[in-house]
Amino acid sequence: MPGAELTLVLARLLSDDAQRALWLSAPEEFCRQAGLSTAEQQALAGLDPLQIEAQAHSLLAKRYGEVCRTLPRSMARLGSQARPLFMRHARHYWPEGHRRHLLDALQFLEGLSAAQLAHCDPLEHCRLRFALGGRRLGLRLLRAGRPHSLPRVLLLFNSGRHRMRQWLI
Amino acid sequence: MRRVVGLGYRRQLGRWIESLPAELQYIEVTAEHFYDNGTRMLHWLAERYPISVHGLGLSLGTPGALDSAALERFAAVTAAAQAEYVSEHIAFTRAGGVDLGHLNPITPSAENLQILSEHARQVMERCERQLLLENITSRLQLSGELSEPQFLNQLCESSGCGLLLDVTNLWINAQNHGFDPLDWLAELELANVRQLHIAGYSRNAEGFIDAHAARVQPELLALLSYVCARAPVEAVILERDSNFPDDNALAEELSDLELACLAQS
Repeated sequence: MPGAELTLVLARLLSDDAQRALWLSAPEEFCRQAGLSTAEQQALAGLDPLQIEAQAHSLLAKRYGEVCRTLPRSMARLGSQARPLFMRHARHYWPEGHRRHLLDALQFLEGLSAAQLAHCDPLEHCRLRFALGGRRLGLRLLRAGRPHSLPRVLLLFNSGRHRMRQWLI
Repeated sequence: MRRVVGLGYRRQLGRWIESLPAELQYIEVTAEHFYDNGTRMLHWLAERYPISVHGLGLSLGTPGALDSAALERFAAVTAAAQAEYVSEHIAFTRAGGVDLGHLNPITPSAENLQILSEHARQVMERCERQLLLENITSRLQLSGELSEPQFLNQLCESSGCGLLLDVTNLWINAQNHGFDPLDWLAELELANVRQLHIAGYSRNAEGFIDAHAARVQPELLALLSYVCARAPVEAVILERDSNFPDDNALAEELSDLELACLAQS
C-alpha cells in the first residue's frame, strides 16, 4: 500500500482545484500526469471525492478564519464581499512558513483594488506590516480619512513579551 | 499519580495566565508563536508552570527529510521553556512543494509508519525529550493496512513516543465518519497516553468541527472521564482560539475538567 506518494498527490489535490477537476473528470489522465504506479492509482481510486472536496474547502475556511482574526475590522468592513474576495486570493496563493497567516493577510490586503482597500482599516494594515517587519519600534503616518483633518501618527512597540502595543496620536 | 489541568497559552489569555490563577496548573505553548520573539515570556512561564511545547508545522508525515530550520527553532523554544514534553500531530502540512498551512491526514500504512517513526525519533533526539503525538480531526478519512489505533500503537512501539490524545478530535471524527469512539479506544494501547487535549466542538453545515471556540460540552467531559479512568494521563489541556471567555468562565471550565478527571467512568 503506498503512503509517501499518496501524501504528495493529496497535497496537489487539496491545493489545486484544477487538479481536483481533472482527477474527477479524467482520472487516468491525472494519474498519467502524476506518474502514479498501479498500486498508487488503486489507492487514489479508493478516495472519496466528496471528502477530498470537503477537506480542501476546510483548509481554505481555516485560512479565512485566521485572516478574519488578524484583520477583524477590515473583514467586517468588506462585509459580504470579504469571503469571495478571500477565496479568489487563496486559490492562487499558498503562504509558507510559521508566519503564513500574517503573510496570507498581507497578501490578501495588497491584492485588493484601491477601492476595496479604501474600505479596510489602515491601522490593521500598519500593524500587520510592522508585525512582519520584525522590528521592536515602528512609527507610521496615517493619512486623515476626512478632508481638513490632520494626519495621525501610529507608534507601535513590540514588548518582546509576546505583545504588541500601539499608541495613536 | 498526579494529574494536572492546564491551558494552551494564547496572547489573549496572557493577562489571566500571568495572574497565576489557582485553577491553572499547566501550560502548553505553541512553538510557532515563539519563533520570532517571546523568549522572556517563555522564561517567565517556565519559572511558574510546568510546560509542554506543541508544534503545528513540523509536518512529520511529509515524506523525505524534516525541515531542519523548523526543527532548530522548535528545539530552541523547547529549551527556553524547559519543557517536560514536546508534541506534534500525526499529519502533514507540507508536501510536494506546497505548504497547506493546516493539518491533513496520512494513510495508516507501513510506509507512513516508517516515515513518521523516523521523524519522531529525530525530534526526540534533537529536543532531548519524549515526543507525544496527537490524533487529528479531518473531513478526509483514509484507510490503509492498519486501523488508526493500530497505527498509533505501532508508532509508539517503534519510535518510543507517547500519545497526546485529543478527545475532541476523536469525538468529532466519530460523529462525522460514523464510528463509536469507545470501540476506537478499545483498540488503542491506552498505556501510551500521557496528555489529553480538549476543546468544545462547533457545528457547520457539513458537520462537527474543531474550531476551539466553544465551552467543552457534557458528552466530551464524559469521554474525558472515560479515558482518565483507564489511561495514565498526566495533564489535561484545554484549547481555545477564539470567543475567549471571561476569567471566571475560564476558571470554571478548568474546574469542570478537573472534576471530570476525578469522576469514575
